[in-house]
Amino acid sequence: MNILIRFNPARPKAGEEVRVQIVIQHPMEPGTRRDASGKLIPADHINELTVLFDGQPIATVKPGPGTSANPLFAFKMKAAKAGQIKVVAKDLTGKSGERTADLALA
Amino acid sequence: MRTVAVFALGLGALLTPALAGPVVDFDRWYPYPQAQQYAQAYRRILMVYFWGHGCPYCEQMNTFVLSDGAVSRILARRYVVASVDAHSPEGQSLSRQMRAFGTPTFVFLVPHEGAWKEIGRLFGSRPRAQFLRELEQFCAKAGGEGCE
Amino acid sequence: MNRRKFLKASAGALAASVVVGRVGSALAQGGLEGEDIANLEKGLQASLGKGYKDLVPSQAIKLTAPAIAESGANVPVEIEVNLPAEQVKAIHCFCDKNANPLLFSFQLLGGGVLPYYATRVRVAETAPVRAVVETKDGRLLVASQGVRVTVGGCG
Repeated sequence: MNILIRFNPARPKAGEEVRVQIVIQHPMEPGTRRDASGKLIPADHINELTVLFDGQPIATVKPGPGTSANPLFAFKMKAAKAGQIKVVAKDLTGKSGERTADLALA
Repeated sequence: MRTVAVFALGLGALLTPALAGPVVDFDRWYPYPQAQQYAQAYRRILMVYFWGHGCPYCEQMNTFVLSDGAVSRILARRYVVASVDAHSPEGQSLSRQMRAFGTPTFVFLVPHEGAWKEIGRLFGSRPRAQFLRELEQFCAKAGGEGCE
Repeated sequence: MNRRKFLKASAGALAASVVVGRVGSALAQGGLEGEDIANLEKGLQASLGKGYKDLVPSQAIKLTAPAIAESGANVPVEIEVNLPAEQVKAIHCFCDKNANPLLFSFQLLGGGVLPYYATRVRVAETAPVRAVVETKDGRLLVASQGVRVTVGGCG
Protein backbone atom coordinates (compact mmCIF):
# COMPACT_ATOMS: atom_id res chain seq x y z
CA MET A 1 0.00 0.00 0.00
CA ASN A 2 1.74 3.12 -1.18
CA ILE A 3 0.80 6.10 1.00
CA LEU A 4 1.70 9.72 0.30
CA ILE A 5 1.36 12.55 2.82
CA ARG A 6 1.58 16.23 1.92
CA PHE A 7 1.27 19.38 4.03
CA ASN A 8 -0.05 22.65 2.73
CA PRO A 9 1.63 24.97 3.55
CA ALA A 10 4.67 22.71 3.64
CA ARG A 11 6.02 24.49 6.73
CA PRO A 12 3.22 26.29 8.57
CA LYS A 13 3.84 28.90 11.24
CA ALA A 14 3.06 27.93 14.81
CA GLY A 15 -0.71 28.13 15.32
CA GLU A 16 -1.45 28.29 11.61
CA GLU A 17 -3.92 25.94 9.89
CA VAL A 18 -2.32 23.20 7.85
CA ARG A 19 -4.08 20.97 5.34
CA VAL A 20 -2.90 17.37 5.50
CA GLN A 21 -3.49 15.48 2.29
CA ILE A 22 -3.16 11.71 2.16
CA VAL A 23 -3.26 9.75 -1.10
CA ILE A 24 -3.16 5.94 -1.11
CA GLN A 25 -2.71 3.64 -4.08
CA HIS A 26 -5.57 1.21 -3.67
CA PRO A 27 -8.26 -0.09 -6.07
CA MET A 28 -11.02 0.47 -3.47
CA GLU A 29 -13.03 -2.31 -5.08
CA PRO A 30 -16.64 -1.65 -4.05
CA GLY A 31 -17.74 -5.27 -4.54
CA THR A 32 -20.34 -4.28 -7.13
CA ARG A 33 -18.10 -4.01 -10.17
CA ARG A 34 -18.29 -6.61 -12.94
CA ASP A 35 -15.10 -7.55 -14.77
CA ALA A 36 -14.72 -8.25 -18.52
CA SER A 37 -16.27 -11.68 -18.06
CA GLY A 38 -19.14 -10.31 -16.04
CA LYS A 39 -17.93 -11.74 -12.73
CA LEU A 40 -18.33 -9.61 -9.65
CA ILE A 41 -14.97 -8.45 -8.35
CA PRO A 42 -15.01 -9.06 -4.58
CA ALA A 43 -15.08 -6.02 -2.31
CA ASP A 44 -11.61 -4.87 -1.33
CA HIS A 45 -11.49 -1.33 -0.04
CA ILE A 46 -9.78 0.50 2.79
CA ASN A 47 -12.24 0.48 5.66
CA GLU A 48 -10.17 2.11 8.34
CA LEU A 49 -7.65 4.90 8.34
CA THR A 50 -6.10 6.22 11.54
CA VAL A 51 -4.06 9.40 11.79
CA LEU A 52 -1.74 9.87 14.75
CA PHE A 53 0.27 12.90 15.84
CA ASP A 54 3.30 12.04 17.96
CA GLY A 55 1.66 8.69 18.72
CA GLN A 56 -1.75 10.11 19.74
CA PRO A 57 -4.73 9.27 17.48
CA ILE A 58 -6.16 12.56 16.22
CA ALA A 59 -8.61 11.35 13.55
CA THR A 60 -10.06 8.22 12.01
CA VAL A 61 -11.76 7.73 8.69
CA LYS A 62 -14.07 4.87 7.80
CA PRO A 63 -14.35 4.90 4.03
CA GLY A 64 -17.04 2.74 2.49
CA PRO A 65 -17.27 1.25 -1.01
CA GLY A 66 -18.35 4.74 -2.09
CA THR A 67 -14.83 6.14 -1.81
CA SER A 68 -13.05 6.35 -5.18
CA ALA A 69 -10.07 4.28 -6.28
CA ASN A 70 -6.65 5.63 -5.25
CA PRO A 71 -8.38 7.58 -2.53
CA LEU A 72 -7.59 11.06 -1.36
CA PHE A 73 -8.21 11.96 2.27
CA ALA A 74 -7.65 15.53 3.37
CA PHE A 75 -8.20 17.20 6.71
CA LYS A 76 -7.02 20.36 8.46
CA MET A 77 -5.37 20.89 11.81
CA LYS A 78 -3.88 23.68 13.87
CA ALA A 79 -0.12 23.36 13.72
CA ALA A 80 0.52 24.03 17.39
CA LYS A 81 3.92 22.33 17.38
CA ALA A 82 6.24 20.35 15.18
CA GLY A 83 5.78 16.61 15.32
CA GLN A 84 5.25 13.39 13.43
CA ILE A 85 2.10 12.48 11.52
CA LYS A 86 1.53 8.77 11.11
CA VAL A 87 -1.10 7.26 8.87
CA VAL A 88 -2.21 3.65 9.30
CA ALA A 89 -4.58 2.15 6.70
CA LYS A 90 -6.34 -1.22 6.74
CA ASP A 91 -8.44 -2.82 4.04
CA LEU A 92 -11.17 -5.49 4.00
CA THR A 93 -8.76 -8.28 3.06
CA GLY A 94 -6.62 -7.56 6.12
CA LYS A 95 -3.78 -5.85 4.27
CA SER A 96 -2.42 -2.78 5.95
CA GLY A 97 0.05 0.00 5.32
CA GLU A 98 1.54 2.90 7.19
CA ARG A 99 3.54 6.00 6.52
CA THR A 100 4.98 8.79 8.62
CA ALA A 101 5.77 12.39 7.74
CA ASP A 102 7.38 15.08 9.86
CA LEU A 103 5.49 18.28 10.28
CA ALA A 104 8.03 21.08 10.60
CA LEU A 105 7.16 24.66 11.51
CA ALA A 106 8.43 27.76 9.77
CA MET B 1 -25.90 -45.78 -31.02
CA ARG B 2 -24.10 -42.63 -31.98
CA THR B 3 -27.13 -41.27 -33.85
CA VAL B 4 -29.32 -41.87 -30.85
CA ALA B 5 -26.97 -40.01 -28.55
CA VAL B 6 -26.81 -37.01 -30.87
CA PHE B 7 -30.57 -37.07 -31.26
CA ALA B 8 -31.10 -37.24 -27.52
CA LEU B 9 -28.75 -34.35 -26.97
CA GLY B 10 -30.46 -32.29 -29.63
CA LEU B 11 -33.90 -33.02 -28.23
CA GLY B 12 -32.70 -32.28 -24.73
CA ALA B 13 -31.33 -28.93 -25.77
CA LEU B 14 -34.57 -28.15 -27.49
CA LEU B 15 -36.99 -29.14 -24.77
CA THR B 16 -35.32 -28.74 -21.42
CA PRO B 17 -32.13 -26.83 -21.98
CA ALA B 18 -31.68 -26.03 -18.32
CA LEU B 19 -31.68 -29.70 -17.37
CA ALA B 20 -29.70 -31.11 -20.26
CA GLY B 21 -26.06 -30.54 -20.99
CA PRO B 22 -23.62 -28.66 -18.76
CA VAL B 23 -24.99 -26.07 -16.39
CA VAL B 24 -24.34 -22.63 -17.79
CA ASP B 25 -23.85 -19.73 -15.42
CA PHE B 26 -25.94 -16.98 -16.95
CA ASP B 27 -24.95 -14.50 -14.26
CA ARG B 28 -21.65 -13.99 -16.07
CA TRP B 29 -20.69 -12.92 -19.60
CA TYR B 30 -19.09 -14.86 -22.43
CA PRO B 31 -17.00 -14.22 -25.54
CA TYR B 32 -19.22 -13.57 -28.53
CA PRO B 33 -19.05 -17.01 -30.25
CA GLN B 34 -19.79 -18.83 -27.00
CA ALA B 35 -22.60 -16.46 -26.05
CA GLN B 36 -24.09 -16.94 -29.51
CA GLN B 37 -24.09 -20.73 -29.01
CA TYR B 38 -25.74 -20.44 -25.62
CA ALA B 39 -28.36 -18.02 -26.89
CA GLN B 40 -29.23 -20.46 -29.68
CA ALA B 41 -29.20 -23.58 -27.51
CA TYR B 42 -31.09 -22.06 -24.60
CA ARG B 43 -33.39 -19.83 -26.64
CA ARG B 44 -32.33 -16.68 -24.93
CA ILE B 45 -31.89 -13.10 -26.05
CA LEU B 46 -28.30 -12.35 -27.00
CA MET B 47 -27.17 -9.03 -25.59
CA VAL B 48 -23.90 -8.00 -27.21
CA TYR B 49 -22.17 -5.51 -24.93
CA PHE B 50 -19.48 -3.42 -26.62
CA TRP B 51 -17.29 -1.69 -24.04
CA GLY B 52 -13.94 0.06 -24.04
CA HIS B 53 -11.12 0.36 -21.53
CA GLY B 54 -10.94 3.88 -20.18
CA CYS B 55 -14.52 4.76 -21.13
CA PRO B 56 -16.04 6.16 -17.91
CA TYR B 57 -19.57 5.46 -19.12
CA CYS B 58 -18.79 1.72 -19.44
CA GLU B 59 -17.22 1.83 -15.99
CA GLN B 60 -20.40 3.43 -14.68
CA MET B 61 -22.47 0.61 -16.22
CA ASN B 62 -20.13 -2.09 -14.85
CA THR B 63 -20.10 -0.68 -11.33
CA PHE B 64 -23.63 0.55 -10.76
CA VAL B 65 -26.02 -0.80 -13.36
CA LEU B 66 -24.97 -4.27 -14.57
CA SER B 67 -24.42 -5.39 -10.97
CA ASP B 68 -27.77 -4.07 -9.74
CA GLY B 69 -29.93 -6.86 -8.27
CA ALA B 70 -32.98 -6.42 -10.51
CA VAL B 71 -30.87 -5.91 -13.65
CA SER B 72 -28.78 -8.99 -12.84
CA ARG B 73 -31.90 -11.10 -12.28
CA ILE B 74 -33.55 -10.37 -15.62
CA LEU B 75 -30.25 -10.81 -17.45
CA ALA B 76 -29.63 -14.17 -15.76
CA ARG B 77 -33.21 -15.31 -16.42
CA ARG B 78 -33.72 -14.37 -20.05
CA TYR B 79 -30.47 -13.17 -21.61
CA VAL B 80 -26.99 -14.28 -22.55
CA VAL B 81 -24.44 -11.49 -22.40
CA ALA B 82 -21.63 -11.37 -24.93
CA SER B 83 -18.80 -9.23 -23.60
CA VAL B 84 -16.90 -7.50 -26.40
CA ASP B 85 -13.85 -5.28 -25.93
CA ALA B 86 -14.58 -2.86 -28.76
CA HIS B 87 -10.88 -2.08 -29.21
CA SER B 88 -9.60 -5.67 -29.52
CA PRO B 89 -9.06 -7.01 -33.07
CA GLU B 90 -12.14 -9.27 -32.87
CA GLY B 91 -14.11 -6.49 -31.20
CA GLN B 92 -13.25 -4.02 -33.93
CA SER B 93 -14.41 -6.33 -36.69
CA LEU B 94 -17.58 -7.23 -34.79
CA SER B 95 -18.22 -3.52 -34.17
CA ARG B 96 -18.02 -2.87 -37.90
CA GLN B 97 -20.21 -5.84 -38.68
CA MET B 98 -22.87 -4.70 -36.19
CA ARG B 99 -22.34 -1.00 -36.85
CA ALA B 100 -21.62 -0.33 -33.20
CA PHE B 101 -19.67 2.91 -33.35
CA GLY B 102 -19.24 3.82 -29.72
CA THR B 103 -19.19 2.40 -26.20
CA PRO B 104 -21.15 1.33 -24.35
CA THR B 105 -23.37 -0.14 -27.04
CA PHE B 106 -25.85 -2.95 -26.39
CA VAL B 107 -27.18 -4.88 -29.38
CA PHE B 108 -30.09 -7.24 -28.78
CA LEU B 109 -30.45 -10.28 -31.04
CA VAL B 110 -32.77 -13.28 -31.21
CA PRO B 111 -32.38 -16.41 -33.33
CA HIS B 112 -34.85 -16.26 -36.20
CA GLU B 113 -35.13 -18.73 -39.08
CA GLY B 114 -31.53 -19.79 -38.88
CA ALA B 115 -30.20 -16.26 -38.62
CA TRP B 116 -29.99 -13.51 -36.00
CA LYS B 117 -32.59 -10.83 -35.93
CA GLU B 118 -31.85 -7.53 -34.21
CA ILE B 119 -34.72 -6.49 -31.94
CA GLY B 120 -33.11 -3.30 -30.70
CA ARG B 121 -29.98 -1.51 -29.56
CA LEU B 122 -28.91 1.04 -26.98
CA PHE B 123 -26.02 3.44 -27.00
CA GLY B 124 -24.67 5.19 -23.93
CA SER B 125 -24.82 4.75 -20.18
CA ARG B 126 -28.14 5.01 -18.41
CA PRO B 127 -29.51 4.91 -14.85
CA ARG B 128 -30.52 1.54 -13.36
CA ALA B 129 -34.28 2.08 -13.55
CA GLN B 130 -34.12 3.06 -17.21
CA PHE B 131 -31.88 0.14 -18.22
CA LEU B 132 -34.13 -2.27 -16.34
CA ARG B 133 -37.19 -0.91 -18.16
CA GLU B 134 -35.43 -1.29 -21.50
CA LEU B 135 -34.43 -4.89 -20.71
CA GLU B 136 -38.04 -5.66 -19.82
CA GLN B 137 -39.22 -4.13 -23.09
CA PHE B 138 -36.78 -6.13 -25.24
CA CYS B 139 -37.68 -9.23 -23.29
CA ALA B 140 -41.39 -8.69 -23.92
CA LYS B 141 -40.67 -8.05 -27.57
CA ALA B 142 -38.83 -11.37 -27.82
CA GLY B 143 -41.81 -13.05 -26.12
CA GLY B 144 -42.02 -15.55 -23.30
CA GLU B 145 -42.08 -15.53 -19.54
CA GLY B 146 -39.92 -13.97 -16.89
CA CYS B 147 -39.55 -10.48 -18.29
CA GLU B 148 -40.10 -8.77 -14.93
CA MET C 1 -6.99 6.21 -25.87
CA ASN C 2 -10.29 6.87 -27.48
CA ARG C 3 -11.74 9.70 -25.46
CA ARG C 4 -14.04 11.55 -27.75
CA LYS C 5 -17.31 11.67 -25.93
CA PHE C 6 -20.82 12.13 -27.08
CA LEU C 7 -22.96 13.50 -24.35
CA LYS C 8 -26.62 12.90 -24.57
CA ALA C 9 -28.57 16.06 -25.26
CA SER C 10 -30.68 15.52 -22.16
CA ALA C 11 -27.61 15.60 -19.97
CA GLY C 12 -26.29 18.76 -21.47
CA ALA C 13 -27.27 22.37 -21.36
CA LEU C 14 -30.90 21.83 -20.39
CA ALA C 15 -30.11 19.71 -17.36
CA ALA C 16 -27.31 22.06 -16.37
CA SER C 17 -29.65 24.99 -16.06
CA VAL C 18 -32.18 22.95 -14.08
CA VAL C 19 -29.60 21.57 -11.68
CA VAL C 20 -27.78 24.82 -11.06
CA GLY C 21 -31.09 26.48 -10.32
CA ARG C 22 -32.06 23.88 -7.77
CA VAL C 23 -28.70 23.41 -6.21
CA GLY C 24 -28.44 27.06 -5.27
CA SER C 25 -29.60 26.21 -1.78
CA ALA C 26 -27.31 23.77 -0.03
CA LEU C 27 -30.00 23.60 2.61
CA ALA C 28 -32.62 22.22 0.31
CA GLN C 29 -34.28 19.33 2.08
CA GLY C 30 -36.61 18.41 -0.72
CA GLY C 31 -36.90 18.49 -4.46
CA LEU C 32 -33.28 17.72 -5.30
CA GLU C 33 -32.98 15.66 -8.47
CA GLY C 34 -32.73 11.92 -7.86
CA GLU C 35 -33.71 12.20 -4.20
CA ASP C 36 -34.30 8.75 -2.64
CA ILE C 37 -35.16 9.20 1.01
CA ALA C 38 -36.13 5.53 1.49
CA ASN C 39 -32.67 4.34 0.44
CA LEU C 40 -30.94 7.14 2.36
CA GLU C 41 -32.94 6.12 5.43
CA LYS C 42 -31.42 2.61 5.28
CA GLY C 43 -27.93 4.09 5.34
CA LEU C 44 -28.72 6.52 8.15
CA GLN C 45 -30.25 3.78 10.29
CA ALA C 46 -27.42 1.33 9.64
CA SER C 47 -24.62 3.75 10.40
CA LEU C 48 -26.06 6.25 12.89
CA GLY C 49 -29.19 4.54 14.18
CA LYS C 50 -31.05 7.70 13.18
CA GLY C 51 -33.45 8.65 10.42
CA TYR C 52 -33.91 11.44 7.91
CA LYS C 53 -36.33 13.24 10.22
CA ASP C 54 -33.56 13.56 12.81
CA LEU C 55 -31.41 15.65 10.48
CA VAL C 56 -31.47 19.41 10.96
CA PRO C 57 -30.51 21.56 7.96
CA SER C 58 -27.66 23.87 8.89
CA GLN C 59 -25.98 26.83 7.28
CA ALA C 60 -22.88 26.07 9.34
CA ILE C 61 -21.98 23.32 6.86
CA LYS C 62 -20.37 24.22 3.58
CA LEU C 63 -20.60 21.24 1.22
CA THR C 64 -18.80 21.60 -2.07
CA ALA C 65 -19.41 19.06 -4.82
CA PRO C 66 -19.84 19.52 -8.56
CA ALA C 67 -23.41 20.06 -9.80
CA ILE C 68 -22.51 17.95 -12.84
CA ALA C 69 -20.04 15.06 -12.78
CA GLU C 70 -18.87 13.58 -16.06
CA SER C 71 -18.05 10.36 -14.28
CA GLY C 72 -19.65 9.09 -11.10
CA ALA C 73 -16.46 7.19 -10.30
CA ASN C 74 -14.54 10.17 -9.02
CA VAL C 75 -16.55 13.03 -7.57
CA PRO C 76 -14.65 15.52 -5.37
CA VAL C 77 -16.43 16.37 -2.12
CA GLU C 78 -15.29 18.97 0.39
CA ILE C 79 -17.00 19.62 3.70
CA GLU C 80 -16.20 22.58 5.90
CA VAL C 81 -18.02 23.10 9.18
CA ASN C 82 -18.25 26.56 10.65
CA LEU C 83 -18.44 25.41 14.27
CA PRO C 84 -15.76 25.23 16.99
CA ALA C 85 -13.78 21.99 16.59
CA GLU C 86 -14.60 21.01 20.19
CA GLN C 87 -18.28 20.80 19.30
CA VAL C 88 -17.86 18.45 16.36
CA LYS C 89 -17.63 14.71 16.85
CA ALA C 90 -17.76 13.45 13.27
CA ILE C 91 -18.50 14.28 9.65
CA HIS C 92 -20.45 11.67 7.66
CA CYS C 93 -21.35 11.70 4.02
CA PHE C 94 -24.18 9.92 2.19
CA CYS C 95 -25.51 9.62 -1.31
CA ASP C 96 -29.22 8.84 -1.81
CA LYS C 97 -28.91 6.45 -4.75
CA ASN C 98 -25.83 4.41 -3.84
CA ALA C 99 -26.48 0.75 -2.93
CA ASN C 100 -24.54 1.53 0.23
CA PRO C 101 -25.56 5.14 0.92
CA LEU C 102 -22.79 5.81 3.50
CA LEU C 103 -19.79 7.12 1.57
CA PHE C 104 -17.50 7.73 4.56
CA SER C 105 -17.28 8.79 8.18
CA PHE C 106 -14.56 11.10 9.49
CA GLN C 107 -14.12 11.26 13.23
CA LEU C 108 -12.26 14.04 15.03
CA LEU C 109 -10.30 12.87 18.08
CA GLY C 110 -8.75 16.17 19.18
CA GLY C 111 -5.12 17.25 18.82
CA GLY C 112 -6.04 20.42 16.94
CA VAL C 113 -7.93 18.68 14.12
CA LEU C 114 -10.48 21.04 12.54
CA PRO C 115 -13.97 20.17 11.26
CA TYR C 116 -12.97 19.94 7.61
CA TYR C 117 -12.74 16.95 5.31
CA ALA C 118 -12.19 16.45 1.60
CA THR C 119 -12.15 13.27 -0.48
CA ARG C 120 -13.37 11.79 -3.75
CA VAL C 121 -16.44 9.58 -3.90
CA ARG C 122 -18.44 7.31 -6.18
CA VAL C 123 -21.93 8.48 -7.09
CA ALA C 124 -24.07 5.70 -8.61
CA GLU C 125 -26.37 8.00 -10.54
CA THR C 126 -27.85 11.49 -10.36
CA ALA C 127 -28.73 12.07 -6.69
CA PRO C 128 -28.15 14.37 -3.73
CA VAL C 129 -24.95 14.04 -1.71
CA ARG C 130 -25.45 14.80 1.99
CA ALA C 131 -22.96 16.00 4.55
CA VAL C 132 -24.12 15.00 8.02
CA VAL C 133 -22.28 16.58 10.94
CA GLU C 134 -22.57 14.87 14.30
CA THR C 135 -22.06 17.26 17.20
CA LYS C 136 -20.78 16.27 20.64
CA ASP C 137 -24.15 17.13 22.13
CA GLY C 138 -25.82 14.59 19.87
CA ARG C 139 -27.28 16.75 17.11
CA LEU C 140 -27.17 15.77 13.46
CA LEU C 141 -26.80 18.70 11.09
CA VAL C 142 -27.14 18.31 7.36
CA ALA C 143 -26.36 20.07 4.10
CA SER C 144 -27.27 18.61 0.70
CA GLN C 145 -26.09 19.15 -2.81
CA GLY C 146 -27.48 17.62 -5.99
CA VAL C 147 -24.92 15.89 -8.20
CA ARG C 148 -25.98 15.05 -11.74
CA VAL C 149 -24.05 12.14 -13.21
CA THR C 150 -23.80 12.59 -16.95
CA VAL C 151 -25.06 9.78 -19.12
CA GLY C 152 -23.36 9.26 -22.44
CA GLY C 153 -20.87 7.24 -24.36
CA CYS C 154 -17.41 7.24 -25.85
CA GLY C 155 -16.80 7.33 -29.57
